Amino acid sequence: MIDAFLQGLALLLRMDTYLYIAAGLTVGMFVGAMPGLTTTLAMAVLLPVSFKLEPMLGIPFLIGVYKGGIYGGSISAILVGIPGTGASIATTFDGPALTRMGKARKALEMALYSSVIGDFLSDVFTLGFIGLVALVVLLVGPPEVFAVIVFSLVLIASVSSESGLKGAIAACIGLGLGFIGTDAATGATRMTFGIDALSAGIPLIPLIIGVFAVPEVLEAVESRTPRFISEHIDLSKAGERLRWDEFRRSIRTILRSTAIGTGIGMVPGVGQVVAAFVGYSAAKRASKNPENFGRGELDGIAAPEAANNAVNGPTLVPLLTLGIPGDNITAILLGAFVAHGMRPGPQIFQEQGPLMYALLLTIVLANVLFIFLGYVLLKPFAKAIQLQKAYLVPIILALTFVGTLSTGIFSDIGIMIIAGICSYTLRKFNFDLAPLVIAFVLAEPIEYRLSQTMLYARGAVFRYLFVDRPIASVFLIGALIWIGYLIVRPWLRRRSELQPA
Amino acid sequence: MAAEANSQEAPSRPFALLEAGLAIFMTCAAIALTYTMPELIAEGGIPAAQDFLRLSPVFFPELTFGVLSALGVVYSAIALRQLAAAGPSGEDLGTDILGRVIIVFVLSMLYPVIMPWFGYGLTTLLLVGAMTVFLGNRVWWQVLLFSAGTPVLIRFIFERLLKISLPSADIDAIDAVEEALMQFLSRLLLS
Repeated sequence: MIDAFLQGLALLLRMDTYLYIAAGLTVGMFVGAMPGLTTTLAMAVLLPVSFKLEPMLGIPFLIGVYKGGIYGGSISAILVGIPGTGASIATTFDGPALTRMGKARKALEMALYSSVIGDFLSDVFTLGFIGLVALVVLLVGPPEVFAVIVFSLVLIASVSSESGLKGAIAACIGLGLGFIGTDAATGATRMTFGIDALSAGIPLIPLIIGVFAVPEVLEAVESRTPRFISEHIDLSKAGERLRWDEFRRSIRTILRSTAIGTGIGMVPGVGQVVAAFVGYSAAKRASKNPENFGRGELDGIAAPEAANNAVNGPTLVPLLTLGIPGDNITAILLGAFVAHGMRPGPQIFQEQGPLMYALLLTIVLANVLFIFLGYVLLKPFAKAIQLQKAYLVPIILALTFVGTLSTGIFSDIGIMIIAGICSYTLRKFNFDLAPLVIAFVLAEPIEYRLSQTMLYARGAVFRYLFVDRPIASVFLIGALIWIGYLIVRPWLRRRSELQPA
Repeated sequence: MAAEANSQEAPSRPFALLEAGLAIFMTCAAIALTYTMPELIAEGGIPAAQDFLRLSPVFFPELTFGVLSALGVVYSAIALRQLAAAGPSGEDLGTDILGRVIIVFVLSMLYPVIMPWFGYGLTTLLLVGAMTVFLGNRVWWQVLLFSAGTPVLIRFIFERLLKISLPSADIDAIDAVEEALMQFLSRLLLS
């Protein structure tokens, strides 16, 4: 492990990696700042760019987009009260109030510093912790990995969607799509309906672009408004800079939120939005002046921003050690790893240890660039959120097509358009599509791990999973209990609603 | 807030009708796939491996669509109940919105159809130009400059910097112009 870490250090001595991180951070901050565009969209569209680069350039580039995007959402949240990304919803509670008080600059700087600190500390934690997790994961076998995948899928489907039912339906559709093509274990082709292009399965890149980018383009053209936001931004009234004593008062809040975000980040499916809300409410509870929250409190900016950025690093723990993406962004990152010939999972630190550590170290070092670029680009991006849709949307549409064309298979455009239209329809009916893509990428591992488990079980698979393998049984029973709770939850809610009446 | 909650609980009738239709379609498709799954698995593969592993290639797809059928039945029941309770007001797709989405959809469908003749550059120029006009920019020189500049820039980045080849035109004249432009930019920026 230490050898791999030291070899990883040697891989960091190339400047072009930092140039690509800087490019990723800039694109991410810009897209994050635009209320109509999301980080997921930027990552989906730029995924093909990343896999044409070397792993040490392409993956840090995407991680830069990710980091920048989560922070960028706070710019419009503070200035106009419209969150650029879902992760910044909690920032709108105090951001606009501070802007009205003429303290926009203080709020923007607090958002930047708390984002970078939260991100940096959680990245350092990830770097120190991930190797140990990888070692533990190596000790467990296919039954445990199968059980963890099942548990994670159940959790992601139920937590990431507003309605557990719709999340479960999306996950089943994703699994169903993932089984199309040649079965890796037996070589039999499944559900290809005689279409040759499907015998290798549905390709990931057009599916990701179709699911995440096309619906956003269609949603952007729904309204006739020329811009994503109609409010005028006057930066001449942004006020003074953040003072050291003001920042010092928020350090405790930033550290608390970082711990919250780090913990939440390791649980698949929960993500930045929940972390930001938990961080905000924890800061409010701990504050001596909770009545100031919602009326322009700097701690109300520091708490959600540190928490949502602290999620970024730890989400890589289940992704890299078990191959389980916790949300749509890590599902896209998984696509990038696979495109580079690396399959995240228990063996990746054994097979590609130096590269993995180099990537993780790059993520930590990216925070230095993050604070510099964040500071320099704050003003231009604050102005850029008023850009016209007539310029932004055609570029995004052109990039979705060129991204799909970059796979070199012309028929992928058809898959992208069909996936896009279906996803747009599902989103209109409040389906969360993250479980669909996550289930799609987990379809093959789940089947393969069960195949291996059945081989070990010698015909008595239930006894083997639930009696002979205690760790696997804990996760499977946990999944069953959670499903049971989800089934009875509507009745419990109805009963509790009826009781006061 | 209360209005918001009400609108979520009681969607408009057309919206509820569409959702019920989607739920029923999804359920029927899942049931049909579950029922016909063994026929959808092509003969072939390695029968010995299938026997040895004891996990049939049918097992997981059948299980997935079986679960989806059950979930679909519950979803359909909820959607039909919502349809019965649906009021005339509330969330609605709207004909204007639908019209705009259909226009972009048609443009997106035309794009791959005409690309083999016109190639990436000219097709993207037409798509970007049409989208820019559609989204409200009617200043002709801005539209022309923007719609011509975008494909040139994208093609240069993807083809010359990232080495990703993009479809060229069947019509030789278009192809020659695009190639000459790329060579000029390469000499200017990369030499």
